[in-house]
Amino acid sequence: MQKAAYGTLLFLLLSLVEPSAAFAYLDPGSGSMLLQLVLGGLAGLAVIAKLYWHRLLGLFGMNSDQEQSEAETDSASVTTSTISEPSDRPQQIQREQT
Amino acid sequence: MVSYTALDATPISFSPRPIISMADFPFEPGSFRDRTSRVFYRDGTVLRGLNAQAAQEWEVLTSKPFFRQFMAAGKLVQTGQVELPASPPFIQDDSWDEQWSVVLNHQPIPVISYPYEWSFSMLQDAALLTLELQDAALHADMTLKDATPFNIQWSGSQPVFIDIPSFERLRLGEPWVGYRQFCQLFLYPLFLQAYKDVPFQPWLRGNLEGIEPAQCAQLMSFRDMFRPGVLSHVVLQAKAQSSYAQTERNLKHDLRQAGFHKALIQANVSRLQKQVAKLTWQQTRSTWSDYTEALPYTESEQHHKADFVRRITHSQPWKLVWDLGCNTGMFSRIAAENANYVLAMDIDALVIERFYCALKQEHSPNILPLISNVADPVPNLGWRGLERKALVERGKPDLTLCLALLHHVVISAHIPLGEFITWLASLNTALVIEFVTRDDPMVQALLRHKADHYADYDSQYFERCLADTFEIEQRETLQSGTRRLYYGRSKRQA
Repeated sequence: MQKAAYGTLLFLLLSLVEPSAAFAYLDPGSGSMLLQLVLGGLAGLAVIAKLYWHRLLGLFGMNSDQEQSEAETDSASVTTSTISEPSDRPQQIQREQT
Repeated sequence: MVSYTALDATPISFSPRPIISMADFPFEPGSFRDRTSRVFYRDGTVLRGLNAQAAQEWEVLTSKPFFRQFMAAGKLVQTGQVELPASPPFIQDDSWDEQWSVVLNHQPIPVISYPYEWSFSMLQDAALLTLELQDAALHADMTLKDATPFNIQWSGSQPVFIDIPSFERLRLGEPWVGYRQFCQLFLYPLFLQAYKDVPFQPWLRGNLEGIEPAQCAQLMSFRDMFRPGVLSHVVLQAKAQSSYAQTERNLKHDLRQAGFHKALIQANVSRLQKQVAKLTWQQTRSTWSDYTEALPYTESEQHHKADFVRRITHSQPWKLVWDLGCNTGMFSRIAAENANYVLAMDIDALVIERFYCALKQEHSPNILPLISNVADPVPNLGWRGLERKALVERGKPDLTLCLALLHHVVISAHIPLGEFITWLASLNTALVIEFVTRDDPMVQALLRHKADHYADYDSQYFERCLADTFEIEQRETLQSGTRRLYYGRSKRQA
């Protein structure tokens, strides 16, 4: 039952968002990142809703920085030791190590 | 500087020069992917340089209680910080002009092994340890930046996580970057074996990046869609990957903006823990799994053989013993009584699976069971053929057990007898070897449906080959007269 619900969620996700045009930078992890919304269970639902709300607002030219800062302060996971600005960090490379 | 030292580490004395060139130290050639740290060796110690960024993460990690707890439990490699001379930069890595701010000292792993040598339960336990660490890290607002079985090694039957710089602070709104890698190198190989009864080892040996979502999805039938984890982690991930592979959107930014937070990762990790723990490989029989129940020799002969092996293994302490064709591991256990470490190897995955499960129950500290085929040993793999090494380069034995194996090597695997003995001698090892004569029912069974092209499988020729390369110190014949035991020392060794 739970599994069926997740399945429905993802198909919903896939159908709502149209993949954008080709000739772009290939990011093989993109789908896996989005999938984690669905795998996040109930907590993921709210984020999915918000993701599309932002996109909807974007369609009408209403998406703003204000929304972004609200999203950040709303997050329950922020603590003093959590890094909140990823932009200045190098892109992680999937790796293995001995 | 962090003064934390968990490893009982005598400060390692570096030369007084203010800058030490990394050209002075042998690098671990497999340690190149993470540019923030690098493993190198010095006088038998395993060291790891951290750049300024990795040093910051290390400092945070050492302040977290979970780090000490997991290290005390032996689940994280024992790690300390080397005392370096003041006034950085201490060490210069000439290869890319990197400066190490911190140098760590790791307790060496007895023998490095790879997932394509592990049985099902070994990969499963390594996966569960990875998830357990990720869960603990998330609770402490940290994360594992990758999720690969190459970060797990073994101390006997205990899996140990070795890649300390994998832990970093969790960035706000970022999903688990290592999730896809976890699927490709842990989850899909386990699915393959549990759901399809197809061995994962050849695939992982053939592709160090593991099984792609799309490849795994192709293998799954309609029936498999109803098995736990297949729809979400395989089919939907493959679909999501193909749909978004060429997206122009900055998904990380979008997710952060929408409020992605660590509870989502925790939910995923928690479900994965349950799904992985429930996976079972239900094979009950294989070629070699019932060997001991149909032993071709009597109990008294078995005792005789065990006594012979015990006499040799107790004659002196051994550092590393290889038991080739270990089957139930009876002789590995005898060797382990007086050896630092024993590699118990067999071609049969089910045999190794059973032996590992038994050793795990007993918390065995010094026997590592591995799937290994002497006729097709694991080669050097990866970048420059140096990233993952052949077994001989990871630890040569000082004693090798080769019991009830030679007739299979020659007659089943077609390896010329002389070449096999020469290969054994090249290991510079002492050797316990059994020769089963042509009169023995096991040899006759091997030859029953084959043209006998194995003139070299002859007891006199065998003794001559052995005497060419080994000083034969002991030889005994079992009661049946068809099985002979030899103990020799490599002439090179002598």
